[in-house]
This record gives sequence, C-alpha cells and structure tokens, in this order.
Amino acid sequence: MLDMSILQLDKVSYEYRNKHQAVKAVNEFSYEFNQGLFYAITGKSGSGKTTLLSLMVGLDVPTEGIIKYEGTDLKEMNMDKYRRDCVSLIYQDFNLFPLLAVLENVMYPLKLKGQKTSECKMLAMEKLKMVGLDESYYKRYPSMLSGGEQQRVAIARALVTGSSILLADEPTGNLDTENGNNIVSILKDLAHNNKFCVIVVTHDLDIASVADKTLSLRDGRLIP
Amino acid sequence: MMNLLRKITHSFSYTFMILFRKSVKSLAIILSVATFAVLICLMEFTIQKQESLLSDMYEQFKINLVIMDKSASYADDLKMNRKYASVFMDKENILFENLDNLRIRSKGEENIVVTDEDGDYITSLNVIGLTYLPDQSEFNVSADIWQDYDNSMLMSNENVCIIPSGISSIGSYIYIKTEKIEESVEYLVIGTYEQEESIFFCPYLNYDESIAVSSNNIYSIESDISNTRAINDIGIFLLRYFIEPSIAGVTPVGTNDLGLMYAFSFVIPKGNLEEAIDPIKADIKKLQILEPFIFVFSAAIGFVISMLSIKNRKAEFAVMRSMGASGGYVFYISFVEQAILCIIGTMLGTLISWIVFNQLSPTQINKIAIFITCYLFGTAIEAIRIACIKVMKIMKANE
Repeated sequence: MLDMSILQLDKVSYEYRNKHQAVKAVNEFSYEFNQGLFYAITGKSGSGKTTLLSLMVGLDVPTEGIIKYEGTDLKEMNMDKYRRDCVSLIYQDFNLFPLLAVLENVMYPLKLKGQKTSECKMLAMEKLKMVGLDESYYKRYPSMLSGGEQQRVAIARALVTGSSILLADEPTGNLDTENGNNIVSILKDLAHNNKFCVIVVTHDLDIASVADKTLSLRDGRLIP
Repeated sequence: MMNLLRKITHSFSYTFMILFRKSVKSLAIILSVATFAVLICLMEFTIQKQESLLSDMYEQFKINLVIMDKSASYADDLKMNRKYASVFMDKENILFENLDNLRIRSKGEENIVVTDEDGDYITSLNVIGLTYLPDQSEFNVSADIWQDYDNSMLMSNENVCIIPSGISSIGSYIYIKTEKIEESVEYLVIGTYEQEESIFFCPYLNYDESIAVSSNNIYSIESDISNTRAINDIGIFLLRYFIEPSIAGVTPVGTNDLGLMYAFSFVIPKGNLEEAIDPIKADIKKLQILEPFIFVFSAAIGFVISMLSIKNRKAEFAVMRSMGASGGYVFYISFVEQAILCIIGTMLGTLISWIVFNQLSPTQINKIAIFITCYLFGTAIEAIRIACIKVMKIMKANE
C-alpha cells in the first residue's frame, strides 16, 4: 500500500473568545495524514477534536499555522470548492436530507457541482452498491431506514464526490454495536482498498483500537 | 457555462421539489399568508366603506348658513356694512369654494334713472343687487331669463339687469344714471318680468361697486354649505368676522378683520349632521387605530413564520455548506423557497379578497406590498444568518 501525504497540518492553532476569556481549542497541532490509512482522533469532551475536524474540512480557518491539501495551503484555495471536491464529512446523526429519497440524497453533492443528472444517478447507484444498499433502497426516505442504513447512505453520499479525504465525526455514536462495527469496517475498507484518507473523530476506544493510527488530543494539543 | 446552467436548474428544481414534498407545511404557510392578506384587505375595505358612507352623509345633508344680527333674532334687514358681503365674494377665501347657492341681497335703497340711447328719460326704478335670480315668493316677480344666462351670472360684476317688461325687451340695452353714475352706463337686459314692480335687479357685485352709495345696504346673507366636510373650517373662518350664536347678544369686544365691530352672528345648524356622522367617525377612528396594529401584527407574524421556517431547517442548510454549497447558494435556496410561498399566499389572499369584496384599491395593494416586504425581510435576515452559520456548531447542537 502506497502511503502518500495528502493533508498536512503544521503548528495549527485555533483560538476563540468565549464570554470570559480567550480559549485555544487547538494548540500547535502538527501532523501529516496519508492516503490509504484509517485514523482515529480521540480525546475527552472539549479536547478540541471537533474544532480540529472543522479546520480540516475547511469550515473554519486556523488562527495560526498552515493546513495544506496535497501541498497547497488551504488559504490559497476556494473553500467551497475544497469542500465540494477534496473532502467529505460524515456526521454522528447522519444528517441526510429528510425530504429527499436515498438516491436523491446521494446524488445531491454531484448536482451541487453541476453534473448531469444521468452521471449523478450512475455514480450514486455505484456508491450505494459499494456500501451494501441495493435498488430497493433508492426510493425510500431517510425516515424509513434504520440508523445503520442511514449511516451507509451518508457514507455513499460522502464517497460520491470523488474526494480523497473522508472525515467522520463520531460516525458510530448513534448506532448499536453491530451496526457500528459494520460502519467501521466499511470505512476501514475504503481506506485500505480505495486509498481514501479516513479520519474519524471518536470517543469510542473500539474504533481507536482498529485504526491504523490513533491520535490523542488533550487541551487542543496532540499527546505524543 | 453548462455547469452554471445546470446548477441554476438544480437549485430551482430542488426548491420546488422540497415545497411539493413538504406540502402540508407549505400549504400551512400559504394559507397563513393568505389569511393575513385577506385580513389586511378586509380592514382596508371596512375603512373605505365607512369613509364612503361618511362621504354620502356629508353630501346628503344640506346645511344652511345664515348671518343674523348679533342678538340672533332675525336674518333680514342686517343693516350691515357691505364690506361683510365682500368676505363671501372673495375668491381667495374658504367660503367661496365651499358655499353653494349664495344668497346676498342688497337692501335696495338706491334709485336709478333709465334712459334711452339719446339720454331721454324713460322711468325711475329701485335697485336691488342679488347673487341669485329673483323669484315670486321673495320679490313678487316671475322673470323670464335669457337662455344664455343663469344664476352664476349674478355672481359676476357684469352690467346686466332684469327689469319690468314694459321698459325694454330681453337682449336689448338700456342706459342708466344714478347718484353715483353721472354719465349714462349701458346695461344688457337679460330678463324681464310682467309684474307691476319697479325694481332694477342687477348682480350684487355690480351693485356694490357701481351703484351703491349707502354703507348699510345688506338685506340678508344666506347660503347652503355644499361641502359639509369643511363645516368646522368654515365656522372657524367666520369667527374672524362674526360672533358665535352661543355668545350672540353679549356685547362684542374689539374689532374684526374688516376693522368693524362685531355686530353680527352666524348660525350653522349642524346638529343633525353631527348626530349622523359622529358614530361613523368614531367607527372609522377605532378602525384606524386598530389597523396599524393588525397590519404590524400580520407583518410581524409573516416575519416570524419565515424566520422559523428557515431556522427549523438550519441543520439541512449546514450540511449543504459542509458539502461545499456557497453562502450565496444557501441564501438563494432558503430565500426563494419562502418568497415563493409568500407570493403564492398573498396572491391567493388577494384573489379571495377581490372575489369577496369586489374591489382592490391601490391602498390595499400598497399594504399587501408592505406585508410581502416585511415577510421577505424576515426571510432575508434569517437566510443571511443561515448563509453565515458555523456549521460544526449547529451539527454539534443537533446531536
């Protein structure tokens, strides 16, 4: 397996002000994430995991330090385009569009990019198949699916854009053990067999134990 | 270019698809907006109806203005300086355009000598200046008037007259001399009467300026008030020259605008009118007080509905942002969706109002436009907020 650096964080800090004081949620975090690996970022509540995730996905800008995607500083990139093409996010509570059917949910990011409907449909079907959902699911609405099925749809939606980084925030948090394990194995498979860089932010030590690399955060700092 | 076109088509189709799929919510918003539009139209319609009723009342009531002596005992024989009459004939003041059928009559103390073209004496007549055509009941004459002339002629200062038929015929000229006029002046005969009276009727203004010598020569002043809406303004104006009936009899102090002592009072019997219009006016006032509240309330509800509708879908828009949708796209999607509901709702409400009330006035349209603006303003504020949201914060809050 070829490990290639895709996302580099160099002394990244993020500071914000709450009512009383300035808080450094991420403190001089440096790391290089490679393609084809499954990462777990662990830490207690308030350790800065989610803030780090939002920096990597380009929803926030670091107050200090540099984040590079394939060698290009994110500050030089169009953030919307970066999120559309380079990185995908999976949430704890799935966040599927409730009024769109499964196939439409997966097609949505492609439509956002302005791709032809026929292309969108073909790619969406392919990704749904990849996560183990067949044709019978296409016209169902999220409310008609189990938690595990919804998370599979969310993964298919994340895959469909062709981005090479998959970021997941507690992806098994709302699932039972069996479904959680299935999702983890899908993510791991995507990293190892499809060369995705999968980064999972989690409390779950079971996920950490199967990850290729586990990073622990405390007070925004990476624990060596 | 194709990509952009597809993006626009996609955002439109997405908006309509969402509206269609959440049909119950969409319908609820459309009906709420329609209800407010109907409510606004209803308020405006009711006020307009009441105002029209009030207008009818003003037009239907004929109110007579009478100038009396200061003891308010009698309207005739006012012994009034003719300067008082000039107040009514002045085109610049409020009375001229608001009074109808003005009846000023000179006392007729002056005599004139009628001559022919060569200055030979024909007869001697008593002069009465009028602002109206003489009639049988007041002067015991029944005059035939030249067809080109009417009442308005007597409001002018033309040298025209109405004389006994034996002197001359209608359309001919006669010549007169008076104490004030040394050389004969030509007068056109516009009317004659058969009765055995010896009166030379001429326009009051003409009499006042050309013939009258005495200063106490007003016999009576009466008028209908054509614009009863202006009744209070007319009353206020008259107070500059006359005293109120309620204090008539009391010796007035000071002088009026004409430099004369207050010697006369005026009566405007407006009791019946007030009795009829006061309840309507009170109703209009209540509605006018209530209207802004209903309007602001409707607009505020519209504002809140649109804000809440977007706010409830905050997570959905946050996901769009995390997928790379631009702030502008999220603003567009959320704004257009609400704008469509608002416009359909208002159109429906306006249509219902139009069918039910059979009218759609510019004021109603303006108020509906303001309502739409408020609604869209609420939508825009929330859409801007949504476009600038902290995506991760919302995602975490939803977990």
